[in-house]
Amino acid sequence: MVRWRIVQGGQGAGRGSSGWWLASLAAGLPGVGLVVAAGNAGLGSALGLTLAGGGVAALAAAALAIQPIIDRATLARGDQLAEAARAYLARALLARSLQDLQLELEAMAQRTLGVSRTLLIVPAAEGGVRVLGADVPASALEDAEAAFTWLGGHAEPASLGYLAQIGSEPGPAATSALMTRLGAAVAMPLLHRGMLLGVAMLSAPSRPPPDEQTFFRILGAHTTVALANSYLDAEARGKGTLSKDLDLASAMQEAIMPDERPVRRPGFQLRGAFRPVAECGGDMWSWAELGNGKLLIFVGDATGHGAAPAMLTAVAKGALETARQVLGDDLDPAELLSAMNRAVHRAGRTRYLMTGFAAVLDLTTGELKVANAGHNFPYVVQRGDSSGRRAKLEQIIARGNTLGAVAEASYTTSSRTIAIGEKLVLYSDGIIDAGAPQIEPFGEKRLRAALLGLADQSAPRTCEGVMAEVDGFLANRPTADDMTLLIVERLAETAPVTAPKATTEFDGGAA
Amino acid sequence: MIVPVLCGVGALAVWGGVVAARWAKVSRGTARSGANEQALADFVVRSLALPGLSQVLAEAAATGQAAFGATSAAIFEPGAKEGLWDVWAPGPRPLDPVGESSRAVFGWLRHNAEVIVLGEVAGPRFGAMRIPLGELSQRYGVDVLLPLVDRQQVIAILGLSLGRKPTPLERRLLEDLRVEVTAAAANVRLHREAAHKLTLEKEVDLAGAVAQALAPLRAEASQGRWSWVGHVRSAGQVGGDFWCSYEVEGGVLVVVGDVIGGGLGGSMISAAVKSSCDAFAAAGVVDPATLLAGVNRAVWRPGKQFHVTAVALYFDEASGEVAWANAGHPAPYVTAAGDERPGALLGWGAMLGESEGSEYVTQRRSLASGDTVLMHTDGVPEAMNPERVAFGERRLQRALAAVRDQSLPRARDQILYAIEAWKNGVPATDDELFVLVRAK
Repeated sequence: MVRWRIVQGGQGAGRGSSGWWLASLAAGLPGVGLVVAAGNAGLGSALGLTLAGGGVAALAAAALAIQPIIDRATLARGDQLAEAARAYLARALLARSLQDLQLELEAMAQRTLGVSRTLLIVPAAEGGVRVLGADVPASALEDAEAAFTWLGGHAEPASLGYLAQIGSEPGPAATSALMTRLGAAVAMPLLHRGMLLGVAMLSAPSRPPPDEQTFFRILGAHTTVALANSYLDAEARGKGTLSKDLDLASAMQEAIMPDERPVRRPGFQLRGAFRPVAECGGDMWSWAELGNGKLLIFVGDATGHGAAPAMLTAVAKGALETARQVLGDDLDPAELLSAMNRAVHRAGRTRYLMTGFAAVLDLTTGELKVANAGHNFPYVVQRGDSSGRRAKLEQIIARGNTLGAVAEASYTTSSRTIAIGEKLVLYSDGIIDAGAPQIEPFGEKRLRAALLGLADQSAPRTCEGVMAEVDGFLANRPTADDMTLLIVERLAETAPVTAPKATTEFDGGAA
Repeated sequence: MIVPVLCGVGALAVWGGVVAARWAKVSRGTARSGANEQALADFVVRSLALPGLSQVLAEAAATGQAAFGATSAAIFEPGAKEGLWDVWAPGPRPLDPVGESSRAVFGWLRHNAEVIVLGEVAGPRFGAMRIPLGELSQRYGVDVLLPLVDRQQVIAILGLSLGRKPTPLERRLLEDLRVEVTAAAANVRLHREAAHKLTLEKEVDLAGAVAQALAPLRAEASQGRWSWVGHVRSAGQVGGDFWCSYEVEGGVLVVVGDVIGGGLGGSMISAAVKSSCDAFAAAGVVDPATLLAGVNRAVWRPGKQFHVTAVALYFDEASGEVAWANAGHPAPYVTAAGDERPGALLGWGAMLGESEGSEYVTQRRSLASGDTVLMHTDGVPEAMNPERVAFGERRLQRALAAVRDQSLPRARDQILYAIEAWKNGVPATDDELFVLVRAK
């Protein structure tokens, strides 16, 4: 009779099949013995010898025929277990509930290890824990916290034997006591990225794995990933709806911002660019013709980026547009900032603030009135000329409180002149901080160099050029803050600028 | 005698030869198996500690190379834009972008999530995919594809270059590797998505808090001859319905509005509208038609599509009149002593945001002591019961008539109760808002 010798261990190369071939040889040895005996017995045994030789040949042929089956049957025990663990993983990943997962683990442990009891202990929605796989009295789980705490910190499977070895510390002792009460011999903590998702426990296996620690570690990891993926899937559900909501908010924010296409009107041309880093941004920019040849421009930057600052920009925009209508061509930048401050303070409740720079340019006289609410100082770019005058940058220094810091704030309007052909550059700090914190930021120096390099270009081309410089600097690296750039150029054309349509006189009187 | 013995010895020699050859073959085979097993055994254990998808995929590629002797690996991932794929190899040098024909393969793999040996694509299973699969093999030098598909979503595809046909045992182990890498990659992806969802939830909550800050400071108030109460409940985390009340000199101004679309985007528009209303009220603009026309100009953008319905009412202290103008909003109701059914304050006008120069008309009527005006958004009459029947304008009018003699807070609670009783537990699908103003 052939006795299949299964080599235990499975970590070394070829142990499974070599085991089978050893067994085959052992089965063939009686045949060899028979040949030798027949040789000694003389001619009368010729038939027997022939039969013996034929039998050996038949055995070899049969061996070849059944080889694939034998290959599989004689996989090393360790390899078999590894395969069973992977098959379990494939099924566990499809489990629709925790009960399903426990049943899959139970079936695998029973079939492969001869385990009679498989428990899956997970946190219960109502607090405490629930045990899947057996009816366990509540008393059995008393004082389980110490065991779970220890298992969570230990992060390795623990058997009763191992627990007995490591002494009588409170953690191992509590774990050992809990396992004994639950009829378990092995506990596998299901630890996922530092969080204990549950504990799987098995009774003593009748066919223990050759390397228990390794096998139970793998089994625990497979159970962990199935359990974690199930939990995470449930947690991530609804993300699509939220993303769509934010996408819609982003579209709405875009809708309340000006069009980014270049604008050329009598007396001026401009272009703005707005690049939020998230779905929604905290920057805003705006321009409007106030009538009587006056142009309002504004750039603001709310605290942080995302939906909440974007909401604040919507509030600021509402206030700005209303002030523009109410004040008309008399709009004073300081007065505008005061009105916007009230709106931002109310909505932001000092948790969100906004910096802003407002300017009104008289296209006929070139007078530029400005007021600043904690925003970056803008630049005025002067072109070079044929007489040898070099292009020049000048910063407009104006200071004032950040919008929203206090309920009522007053600002100061200062003025200067913008000559024909000069450009006014407003930007948010996302431009100069581009690249931070991962790399050294783009910085004022590069911005100034870019502006000087593009001094002879039109406002739209300068805007495109600076943004291209920033993009080239970033080289697809992410940046941390929204970027906004607005460049306005005063042109020579002095054709009268028409007042905005349908301007309403607000007399403030009762209805 | 010699012949049979020679036969026997010959047979034994043949058998021995077969045994030796088989031994050698199987030893090689099982040697490969053993190495495979070793490399695969703790893949999940190792990968669960990895922080990102690229690390898991790189680990999977390394495991594929170690376990199966693959000479190179390529990883295909869905790109940021739908329909585009990124391809990369573990190491510093990226591969060329995925070609047009290969993209069809990835779509097909979504529904064929098992190991594909590219040398076998002539089989009927591959159908029209034969040609692009062949191109893929040639372009990236891979001959085995492991599609990593979890919950009907392709996370990535791992390509290995074995340079030979895998043995049946290797094929099985490749499938095992595919399952393990899928589990680990799905874990990283889900972890990232769950974390992202938390971030989004927080973001929406914070945005909702900003929008909420623009709500009237008091839901119940009175000034002079007028008192008012409001109720608003958003169907989602943030809503597009809004109301504002302003105690201005000479009366009370109330605006009720509803952004078409709702959600965070709607909330953003309603924030701009409310802010505009605040600024107009602060500037002393109380004429409803003037206010609506101004707000419309403040929020209108050429070529941008968003619409807000709104109704503005000014309750005049001196005259006891209510003046109103309507921008496509449901008409407010008014109960007057002696009326069986509340009347409607009818009015017409374009929704805010519809066109730049929309004009509105202010209408007026007198209110006597005890008269109550109800303004609402369409979420109230459209509240559904379990039989999918809407609460309706008629029931709302009856509810208003029934509370004519109640105190204002109690009237609000009674109307709310009538709506809730109608819904009988059916969750709201739209924001619900109503405001009651009563002449003392």
